[in-house]
Amino acid sequence: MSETSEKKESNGCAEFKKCLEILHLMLANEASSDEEGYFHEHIGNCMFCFEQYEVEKQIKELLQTKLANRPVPADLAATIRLKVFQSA
Amino acid sequence: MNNVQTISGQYYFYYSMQEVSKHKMTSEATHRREYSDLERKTIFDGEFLPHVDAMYNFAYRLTFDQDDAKDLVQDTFMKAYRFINSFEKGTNAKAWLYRILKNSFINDFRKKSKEPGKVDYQEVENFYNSENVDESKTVDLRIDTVKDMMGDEVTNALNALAVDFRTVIILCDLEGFTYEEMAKILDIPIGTVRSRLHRARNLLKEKLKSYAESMGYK
Repeated sequence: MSETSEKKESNGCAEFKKCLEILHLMLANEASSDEEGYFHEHIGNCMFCFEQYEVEKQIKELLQTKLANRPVPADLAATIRLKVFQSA
Repeated sequence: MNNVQTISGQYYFYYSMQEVSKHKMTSEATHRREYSDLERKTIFDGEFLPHVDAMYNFAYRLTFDQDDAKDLVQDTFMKAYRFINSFEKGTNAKAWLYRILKNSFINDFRKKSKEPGKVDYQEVENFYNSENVDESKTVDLRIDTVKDMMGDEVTNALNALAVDFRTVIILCDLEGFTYEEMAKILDIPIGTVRSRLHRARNLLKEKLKSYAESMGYK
């Protein structure tokens, strides 16, 4: 594949494969500080990767906000403890 | 294995491996330490029970039903106590419990659930039939579209994902488990965790994109 067609497929970013890999590591809090540094410097100049980053970040934030912890039945721990030790 | 006759052999293989893993856990239990009654209770109270709230929330996100979630958590703790000799005290109890809960849900609970999850088998089948997931692929979803969403669209899209994909997003984004922990909970290699997570995020965006298009967003 020529450099031109690679650029076309990745919306103009020649480093897109690497950036996407780092972005996914960042979303999982698994990226190294070097990788994060590289990515943040890159998105300062790459609108396409910046947009990918913002979309993923926004989705993750919405999930964390909307799927906040539910109230747990007050007697759950006590009920479990009773059942477990009774059956033992 | 109620559903396997209607879906691919590869999917059947995947769940067969889950069964193997279950037997492996049982077999490990017979070759591990022997705690005294006092030690069992100390481990149960000190290392297992503190995770009950997190377990309930995980169970609810899998079952979508409060009673089912409660039953699933109770079942998990009963199993945890029964196989406590295969747990090494002081290690990662939360990951160990999540693994039991996830296996209980897949292997036992979903079969007898009042309302089995609506699973898009095609999604799972496509994933397991593709030898290599192209990790350079992404979904063209615009940030303005996502910002217009109130959040319910995102949770609905997540809940519509097949359980394997939903689980990996929950474990990563909501529970904050590492790749290594997720690999242990799901009993799959770290590389598979990464590719499944990548695929899950793309599927989530595809669902959001379809939703946005149906609502007339750009």
